[in-house]
Amino acid sequence: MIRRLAAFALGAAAAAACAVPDAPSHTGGYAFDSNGDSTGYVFHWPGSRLPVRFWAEPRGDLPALVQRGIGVWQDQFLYGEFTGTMVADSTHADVIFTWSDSVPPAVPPDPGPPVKACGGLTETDSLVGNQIAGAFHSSITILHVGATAGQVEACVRRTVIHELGHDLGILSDDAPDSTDIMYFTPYVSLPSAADRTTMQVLYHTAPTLLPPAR
Amino acid sequence: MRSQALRRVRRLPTLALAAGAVLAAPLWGQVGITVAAGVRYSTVLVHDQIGGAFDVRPALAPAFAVTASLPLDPPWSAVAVADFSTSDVRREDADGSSQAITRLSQATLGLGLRRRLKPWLSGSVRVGVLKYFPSQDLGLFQDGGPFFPFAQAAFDVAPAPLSRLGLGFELSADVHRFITDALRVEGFTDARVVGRIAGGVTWTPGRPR
Repeated sequence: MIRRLAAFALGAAAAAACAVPDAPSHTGGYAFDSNGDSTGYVFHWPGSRLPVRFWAEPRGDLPALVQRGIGVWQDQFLYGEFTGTMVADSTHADVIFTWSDSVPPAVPPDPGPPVKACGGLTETDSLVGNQIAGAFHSSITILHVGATAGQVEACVRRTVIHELGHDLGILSDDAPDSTDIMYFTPYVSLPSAADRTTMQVLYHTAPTLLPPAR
Repeated sequence: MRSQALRRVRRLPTLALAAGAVLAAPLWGQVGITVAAGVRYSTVLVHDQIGGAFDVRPALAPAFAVTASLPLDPPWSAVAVADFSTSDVRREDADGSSQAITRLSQATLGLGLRRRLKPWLSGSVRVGVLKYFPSQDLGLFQDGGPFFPFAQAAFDVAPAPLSRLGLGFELSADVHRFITDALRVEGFTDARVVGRIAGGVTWTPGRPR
């Protein structure tokens, strides 16, 4: 009986040692550096700075949309590379989201074809050597192009995710395909497979820029 | 008339339970309970390569178990085991750094047979179900905690001086095949065989061996 039990244990150990499935290829991403051609700055939030702290101006549904966007990007990672959290005080935030002027009504998003009814901008205060100074600032601008409230809401949702992509480290606007959320003008509502791969590869690439000091 | 019949039907499960309890009472008198506390090591859950290669595995975890054993024809006994362990699940990069992904608890329920091999040694084989409980639906566990069937072998050692106190040691090893929905979406097609080894101290209250 001892031999049988030992054989069972050895067999199990051998099975554990041998059954090693292949890892997927993780290809199909695009350039994520600041020049968009692999010659520019590379930035991502290091593990020691997680969760990244986000603050959103408490007007309209911006806090809810930023919270949703954090979840969307978190779901693109499998191995704990990025987590984010909302904070109540902008002075303790790594990323600050604001409306640049008018605040649209919070309504259900229009499910129809995308309309460029808004814009977004993400920038940092400055660079000091190879370190970013101050928080990332992302702002959303409503364009007065005769869009319905639902079309504006849909635009704001995808633009918040797009600007969050910049905040996480995709510094260029050179996603090549309009099906990518990081395309210069985002027309899709969620990250594509290429966005996902790009973000994953970025978070496994050595950065050349350091995050702002806390 | 109809309500009386309904009441009888409703009473049936209660009567069945009561009858079962009466019939099982002599068996319950023979059931021995053993509790165990120790530590568990797990092999790699996921090996991936994005830039560099890395592994994902649970850290060493405190482990606790309760075993109920029912004597059969000597030297055999039937055993039922409930087991729990909890620790961070971590990404371990090739450069030696590591990053916690989330807290991961593992619970198992198993049934098996134990045979006394020597007065101080017994061996068991068990099968059952292992369930993962991530503290957050995040990363490879973003679709929740999966469950898997497992097979386990265990040895219990109770040297005479300790057995008089109901104390002993247990070493167990089990295997299961691991994959999650998020890993499938990522492109993993095959489950990975994961081994877990646990060692600890056991105590059988009120029943010195």
